[in-house]
Amino acid sequence: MPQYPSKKGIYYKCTEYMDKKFTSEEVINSLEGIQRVEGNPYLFTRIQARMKREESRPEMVFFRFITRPALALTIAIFFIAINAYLISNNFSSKQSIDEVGQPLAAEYVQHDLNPYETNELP
Amino acid sequence: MVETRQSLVFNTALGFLQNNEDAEDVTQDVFIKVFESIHQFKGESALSTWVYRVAVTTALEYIRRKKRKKRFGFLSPILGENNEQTIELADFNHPGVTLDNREKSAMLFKAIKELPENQQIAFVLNKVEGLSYQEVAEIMKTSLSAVESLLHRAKTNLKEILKNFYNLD
Repeated sequence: MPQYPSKKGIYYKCTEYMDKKFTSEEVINSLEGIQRVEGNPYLFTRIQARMKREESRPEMVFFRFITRPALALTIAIFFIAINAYLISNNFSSKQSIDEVGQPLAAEYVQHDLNPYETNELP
Repeated sequence: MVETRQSLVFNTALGFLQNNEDAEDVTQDVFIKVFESIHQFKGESALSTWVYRVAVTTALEYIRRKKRKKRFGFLSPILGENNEQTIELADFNHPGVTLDNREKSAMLFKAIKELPENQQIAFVLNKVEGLSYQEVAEIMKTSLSAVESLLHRAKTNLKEILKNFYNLD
């Protein structure tokens, strides 16, 4: 029984078509005029039943809820708002430190805290 | 939508899987996927293009899963998995092929299985589904020239496979 190696090195036993003499071009063009096939008449019913089954699965209900665009948008807006609030709060607290710190610094500069002066003998 | 696109999905799956039962399973999977991710469809392409894309991806995933199962089949008794047999089916005779082309198309379908995935997609969509190069390019998200090149390479490879396989000229 002759065996022909394929490109991948797998050996095929070809007895069925050995006596047939087609050209490769004829074989490649053999799909011309191919018609669409009608599937199983119950396929539509089966698909519908499976879709209904999938729809009623609790994890599907949850999945559909969390992937709703409205929910995603609300969550995004919520996070942006929290970030904006935290940034503005941080900025204003920095400002208030500056407000307290500047007069304090000015006072220290005025009185010029020199360690030699402070340790001066009376 | 299921009613109108059922034939499209089933025939695409059949072109890749070359088995009625598997094609029916994949058709069901495709509609479940479409149903679950319809909100992801942005309308950038036609709905049928998107459905074709889902069908091709699902069919190829199914083939990969089957090959994996076959490759690691020896492990299933150890792992205690479902001992479903992966039987190598006989030559596929597409019911839509004309009677005088049946034998030749059976040889061709066997050779198509040996093609690299992207060449297989281009060839099946163009030759089995009868889609234009432009439509194939849209489904594969590639350029027209890339599809032309894929089909040219597919034909060259098919000739080589047929030569090795059946000793055809």
